[in-house]
Amino acid sequence: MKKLCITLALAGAATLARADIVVIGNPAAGSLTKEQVSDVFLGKNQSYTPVDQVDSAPIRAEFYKKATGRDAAQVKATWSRLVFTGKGLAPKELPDAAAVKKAVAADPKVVGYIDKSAVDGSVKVLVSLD
Amino acid sequence: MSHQRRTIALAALAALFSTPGLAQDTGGPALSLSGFGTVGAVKTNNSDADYVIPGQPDGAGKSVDFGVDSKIGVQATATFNLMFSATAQVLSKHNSEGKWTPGLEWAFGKAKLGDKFSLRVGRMGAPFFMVSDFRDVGYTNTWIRPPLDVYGQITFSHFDGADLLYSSSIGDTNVTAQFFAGSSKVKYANGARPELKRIVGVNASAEIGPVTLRAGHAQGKFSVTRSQRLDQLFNGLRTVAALPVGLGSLGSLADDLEADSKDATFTGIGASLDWNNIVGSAEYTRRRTDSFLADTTGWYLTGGYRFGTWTPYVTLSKLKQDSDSSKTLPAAPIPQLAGTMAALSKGVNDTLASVGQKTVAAGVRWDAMKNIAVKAQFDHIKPDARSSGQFVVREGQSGLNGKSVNVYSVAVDFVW
Repeated sequence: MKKLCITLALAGAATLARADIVVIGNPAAGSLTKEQVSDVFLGKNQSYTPVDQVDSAPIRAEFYKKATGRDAAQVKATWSRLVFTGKGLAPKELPDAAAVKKAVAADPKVVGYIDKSAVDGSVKVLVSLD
Repeated sequence: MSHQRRTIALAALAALFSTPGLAQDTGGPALSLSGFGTVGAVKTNNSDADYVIPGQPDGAGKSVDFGVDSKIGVQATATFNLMFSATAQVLSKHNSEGKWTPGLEWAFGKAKLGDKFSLRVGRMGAPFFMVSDFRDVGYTNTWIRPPLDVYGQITFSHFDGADLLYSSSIGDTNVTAQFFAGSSKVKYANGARPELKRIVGVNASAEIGPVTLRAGHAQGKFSVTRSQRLDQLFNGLRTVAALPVGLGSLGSLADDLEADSKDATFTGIGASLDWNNIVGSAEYTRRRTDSFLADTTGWYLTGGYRFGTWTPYVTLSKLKQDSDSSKTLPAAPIPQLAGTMAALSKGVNDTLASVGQKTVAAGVRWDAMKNIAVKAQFDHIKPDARSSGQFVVREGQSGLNGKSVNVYSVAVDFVW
């Protein structure tokens, strides 16, 4: 019984730690594939404007790992190339999910990522990363 | 001139900073400021010639030198609206004049024309190579510096003019193309000034999954002005050609060698790979001019493997001189000309001396922090027979005479 409790507790903790991340866009936007999301957030597809979460947000590293397969340093190097060729600007950093939703709701070209639990009617889920 | 350039650079930055309303994010122009830098130390096992990034007047020998790789750059981009932006980059490094004076590397205005095109006007990075635009941003590259057997072929790092950028996706392939036109000049420490005018070029790349392919071609009119040594040589050849002793061919030799608005082309193809933990890149390039400046072919091949934050890599590279590296001048027809002919012959052959060399390099990059990379690299360089390759032979140095050299480098690269 005790063992079962621990197992359940651990399973619960694991579920909490593994965030369900969704890529969101304006309700008017069409859906995106994971590859397109990767291109947008690595500056390869400029049809959309990506918005980031702040550096310190745990969701950020997890999002990039899931969407692009790259870690923070590789993403930094990729954007540095675009920034220092004058061909692009790194995504704007927004403080939290609410700010991301606000930016997305205001412009059909903007895409962002948030935890699934934060989704509401102001935005549309373009692709789920789980 | 350098003072003037610095003034312009500072004025450009000041103008960007002083635009009102920058601090607030209220729909006015948004300013984004970023920077990069490298602190690098280099030494070799031979002081008969200096290891340099071609263009630099002096560099590393047996004692440690911080000038070869160290640099700092600041870049500001002001975004006025969805269509217009302006970018300026000020870079301070041990430049071709041997100074650290901050120079205006870039200053351009950009107009976004729809989703696929943008037009830039001003001073921009000269896109002759695959990593031209970020060759100075060490952090973005695996190596300490792009292989000099290829990147040393051209010392023009920016051009003044305009370009049209196209970027689009065709299926899963991201395609970019750049058409550019303009002119560029460099000022050397000895006063000489190479210039490339009426440059037109195209640069195209396709990104297919983990592979990026790139091809580029540029052509222009190449001149070297204000070089005392070259002027002396060509005047000497023409003076002797004018004497009634049957050496008229020296006049056409001078015409052939002189860089006076001569046709020049540069062509390159390249590929890079970033697949799982494997990174690699390769480029093959050819430089051609109708002047004393050698025709060359350069290539490199780099491969590396990421073990977490560590990326060991190896590079093989070669710069081959495709044009004559010496010329036999006619013997002096009269004894009185023997000394002059010997001097002219030496002048011609020093000018044509091979710049060819081959390199084996190995190094490691460590991503110490998210925006800091620490690197160490070892290069073993073998210049062509009787030459000093890409090394600089300063007054009082004997030159390498084909002898190989080991180069040891460490660097810390950062971006913010």
